[in-house]
Amino acid sequence: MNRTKITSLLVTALLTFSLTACGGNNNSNGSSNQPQNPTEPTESASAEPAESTGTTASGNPVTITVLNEGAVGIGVGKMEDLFAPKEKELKGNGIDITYTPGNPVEAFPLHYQKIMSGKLKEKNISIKAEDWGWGEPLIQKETAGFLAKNVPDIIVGETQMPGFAQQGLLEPFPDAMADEIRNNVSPAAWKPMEHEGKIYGLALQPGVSSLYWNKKLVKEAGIDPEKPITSWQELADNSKKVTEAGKGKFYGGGVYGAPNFGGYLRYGALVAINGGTFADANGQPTFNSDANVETVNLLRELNADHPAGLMVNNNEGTYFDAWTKGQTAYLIDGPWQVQQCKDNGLDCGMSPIPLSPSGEAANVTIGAAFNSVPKDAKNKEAAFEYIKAMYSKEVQQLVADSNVRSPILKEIAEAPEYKEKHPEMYLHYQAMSGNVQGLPTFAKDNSKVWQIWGDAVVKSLMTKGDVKAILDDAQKRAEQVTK
Amino acid sequence: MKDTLSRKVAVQLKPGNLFAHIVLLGIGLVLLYPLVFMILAGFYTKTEFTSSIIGLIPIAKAPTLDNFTVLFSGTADSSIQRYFVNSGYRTMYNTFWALLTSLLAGYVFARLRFKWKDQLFLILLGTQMIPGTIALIPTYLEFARWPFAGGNDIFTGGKGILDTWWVYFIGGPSLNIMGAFLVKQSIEKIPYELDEAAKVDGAGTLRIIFQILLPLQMPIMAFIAITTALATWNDFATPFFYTSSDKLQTLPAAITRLSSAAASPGAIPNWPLIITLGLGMTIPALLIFFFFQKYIVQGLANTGIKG
Amino acid sequence: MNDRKAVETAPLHLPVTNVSTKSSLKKFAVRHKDALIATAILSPMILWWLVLSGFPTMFGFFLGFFEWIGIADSPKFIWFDNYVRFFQDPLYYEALWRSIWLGGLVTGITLIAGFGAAILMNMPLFGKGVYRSIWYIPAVTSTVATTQIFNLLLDTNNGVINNFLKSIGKEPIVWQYSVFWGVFWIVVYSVWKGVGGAALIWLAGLQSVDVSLYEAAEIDGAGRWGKMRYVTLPGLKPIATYIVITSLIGAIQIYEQVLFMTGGGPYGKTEVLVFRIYRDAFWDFNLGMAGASSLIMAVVVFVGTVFYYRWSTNSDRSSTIPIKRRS
Repeated sequence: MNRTKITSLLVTALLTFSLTACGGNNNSNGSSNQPQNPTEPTESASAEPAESTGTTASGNPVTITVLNEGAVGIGVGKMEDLFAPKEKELKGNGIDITYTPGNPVEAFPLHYQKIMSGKLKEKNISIKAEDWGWGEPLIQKETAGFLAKNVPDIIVGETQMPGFAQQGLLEPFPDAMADEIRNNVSPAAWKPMEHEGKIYGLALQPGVSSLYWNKKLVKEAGIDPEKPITSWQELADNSKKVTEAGKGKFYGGGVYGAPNFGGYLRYGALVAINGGTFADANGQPTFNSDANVETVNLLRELNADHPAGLMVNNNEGTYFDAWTKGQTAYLIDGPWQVQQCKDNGLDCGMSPIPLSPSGEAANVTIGAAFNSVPKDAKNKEAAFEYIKAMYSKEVQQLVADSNVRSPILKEIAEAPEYKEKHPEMYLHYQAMSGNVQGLPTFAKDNSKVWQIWGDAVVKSLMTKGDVKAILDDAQKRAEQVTK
Repeated sequence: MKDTLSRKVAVQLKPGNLFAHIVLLGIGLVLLYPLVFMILAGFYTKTEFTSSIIGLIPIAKAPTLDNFTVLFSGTADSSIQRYFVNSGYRTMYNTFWALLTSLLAGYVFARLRFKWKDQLFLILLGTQMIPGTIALIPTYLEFARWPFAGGNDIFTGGKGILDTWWVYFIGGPSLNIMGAFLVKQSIEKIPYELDEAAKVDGAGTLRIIFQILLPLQMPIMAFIAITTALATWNDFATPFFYTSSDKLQTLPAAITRLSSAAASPGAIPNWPLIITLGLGMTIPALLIFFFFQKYIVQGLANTGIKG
Repeated sequence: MNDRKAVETAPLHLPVTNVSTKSSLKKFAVRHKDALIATAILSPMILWWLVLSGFPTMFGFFLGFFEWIGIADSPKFIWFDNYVRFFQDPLYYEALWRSIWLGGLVTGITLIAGFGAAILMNMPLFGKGVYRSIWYIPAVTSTVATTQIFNLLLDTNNGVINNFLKSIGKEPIVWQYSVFWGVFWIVVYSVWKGVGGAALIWLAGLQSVDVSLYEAAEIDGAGRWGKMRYVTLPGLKPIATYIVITSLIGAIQIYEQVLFMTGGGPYGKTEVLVFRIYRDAFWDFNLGMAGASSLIMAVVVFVGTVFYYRWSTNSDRSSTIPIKRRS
């Protein structure tokens, strides 16, 4: 009797569950155990906007939920309720909370949110902020949110975002808006989020890498600290000279080369300059091209100008720690280094990344928080208004005044007074304007394929093996994964 | 008096005991070291932490209390006090249910006789061996599809019970299997005659459990209470994953959020602040432990092997 | 959700049913009554447990039979392909094997060190409680913060240890590109975090050994080692069964220290299976592989546990000296 009871209990429970699970799942995907038509998700997704446009008819008051990240967030909840306590806190910390456009700004996040709120208010849209953290926890929660179709109207993220776009989880920007962005906004802000001719996301204040050098160390090696480096050869030679002059106290340095996104994003700029790629348009690996062999050879040369193991140290902090402590002379990194050099008392030079003999200026977007509208967002129209406000004149003027990143709106950045007031950030803006890419997402098992690439680079740097052979091997193994 | 004292000191100084003192203290200090490091690192400013070389014992040249200020009063957008209260309530709630379910289920498996008892028990025990990562996304889906909740028609349409207090309410009353196991072992040691005698006096099952057996289980209960309390207190995943609103946050999730704000894209993380916030989470847990640690030892000893 | 972890330090030993025999008629009646009570008490709890952890876990396993790459794609039923791949791809079976031996290593060292500490803590010392508390502190600290401190110590360039090596004229060590050191520091971290808890449980075991047995052994002329061999160790057997099983379950599932300290490097040689599962689920959106790997891992651990449990409890019956109740 007991046996029957417990068994039947278990069986009923199991059945109920699988039905629930399938039910929940099938909303988007149809029957789970039949061969699937690959276009099906798109169909079901395209059916959804019709259903949600009803709720966003313009004119009616709408509240959108927006994910914020650390650089712009001032708290979670209704945006209007956050201003007063934040102002009080900032005042308490002795921070100047006034701001007039064209003048320096101390409380950047506060004013960013105030301007955004004001602009959306005109359209009868109010903002509710959420914060899902950054990095690993953010990716986890976004993944789950997409599966459950429970996502805010605006989501934010870094390297995971192009992958979301490719999987069809994001809503492409309306064509008119996309055209406007293409014409008026620097490519670094949207190019990495472009997929099959559509734009899926925009970064308020992205970065690209530049070459920085520690003038003091360079001078000690007898190199003119004011003269920018223009070629790879020069970079390698100078770095070597500094290492020799440093006698173990300091080193030439160059670029971070570890097998993680921190590394790929930085030396990715070198790969792009030399005309190399990581993947083709179908997400298949292209590791062993001649261009990539040349780039990895440069990395190998630079590795000799680092303390043992530093260049490929998996812990990013270690690498940049050596730079801030004045132990390496050259560094390829994002625009925040300008401010950090000042904070840490380093006298830094800055120039575009030097070019390879056959190379052309190119770059990879780094440290960008892309904002996108999910397919399952409830108020897409209002969400696009939010994105529009991000590249509005007022907001971009604020970015310009903050002097930590460059504005993405051409109108602001190309105005003569910007160049005059913020020479370094103008240099950075120029680097954002050329051929700027994002890292590709591989067709399958993205992180595994990147791992294969990263390990191949480390192997090239840490051993004396033939670079071409190492990359050939990596290519072979990567193809096995993606096919 | 003086005599006993000196005798006591003499006992401590016997070679064996002295050796024990040295080893326990020596290794203990090594074990304690990261905590000391955390406390000292809290006095650093971000700039000094990143630009100077940190020694074995980090002493800040320009000490600051800013990190501790954030820890104790939070920033404007995050009220640490509220997270504290939420954490506290949640800890008490889960601990209560862990105790109740452990006691009742432990009794069932120890005293009652029914078919498939051992198999059922082994299966329940087996579930402890599954990596928790795998259940994370399905649980999220389940909460989001909770029937008729949060704007759901049967399964879809709304957020289900995500981001509501229900996430915490339903999290508590589940069966605490390891606790039940412990109680089972302990009850099995108690002579069955005790139950029999109570039955003769007309006591029902509940009275046997709560009036006869429970008083003998107090140390065990203390042990379950502490482990559950510590686990709930340190639980980051549940609040972070299944809730978003500020009013629902608990300490660890809020600390993770503040930490991620301290590590905004492209910047060097504010390690002193992150470390201080981690410390802030640890200290209440330590207090729980300091307060109850003697019960843990007694509690375990009670389930011992005699019998 | 967290309840699973809540009482992982609970002792586990052989259930001894010592219900005295009764007349068959009475037994029959009692059995029926028992079943009813058991159902009444257990069913709400088990139902609740199923909702909270049972169903989601089963759903995770269920996904192991699907190819589901990318969240937006539709799952495709592929029978056992994921499982076949697991045993064909060194990325997976090597990670499983690594989890097992790394878990074994961590468990072994933690338990031996903990045992030594417990013996010392069991001596008549002043401030025993203080020692217990200090030793337990690492267990309550947060992994994110403490791994970061280990990383600061192990920084190749400015790390405390390498600075010390340089100051005594030795070459600094590149910890991150040596498999040996990678494993070494993961083990050191895990032992650091676990030794206090282990010591506490061993201590409880030591304290529950019947004092009269030591006296008896002394009369029989047993020395310090004799007492350890014939009284202490057999008396600790049930608690040993428990602590070995729970520690091993815990140690096989470590991944945070790997994520934060080595990131699986160099060349994936310190990658453990749970870390792989985590990356499959959240970095590659390959939920099918994650489900399959979890199931394989659960089965391996479960089979291992049952075998150990059986072996341990059987040898228990044959070798344990019957311990008398303290009068």
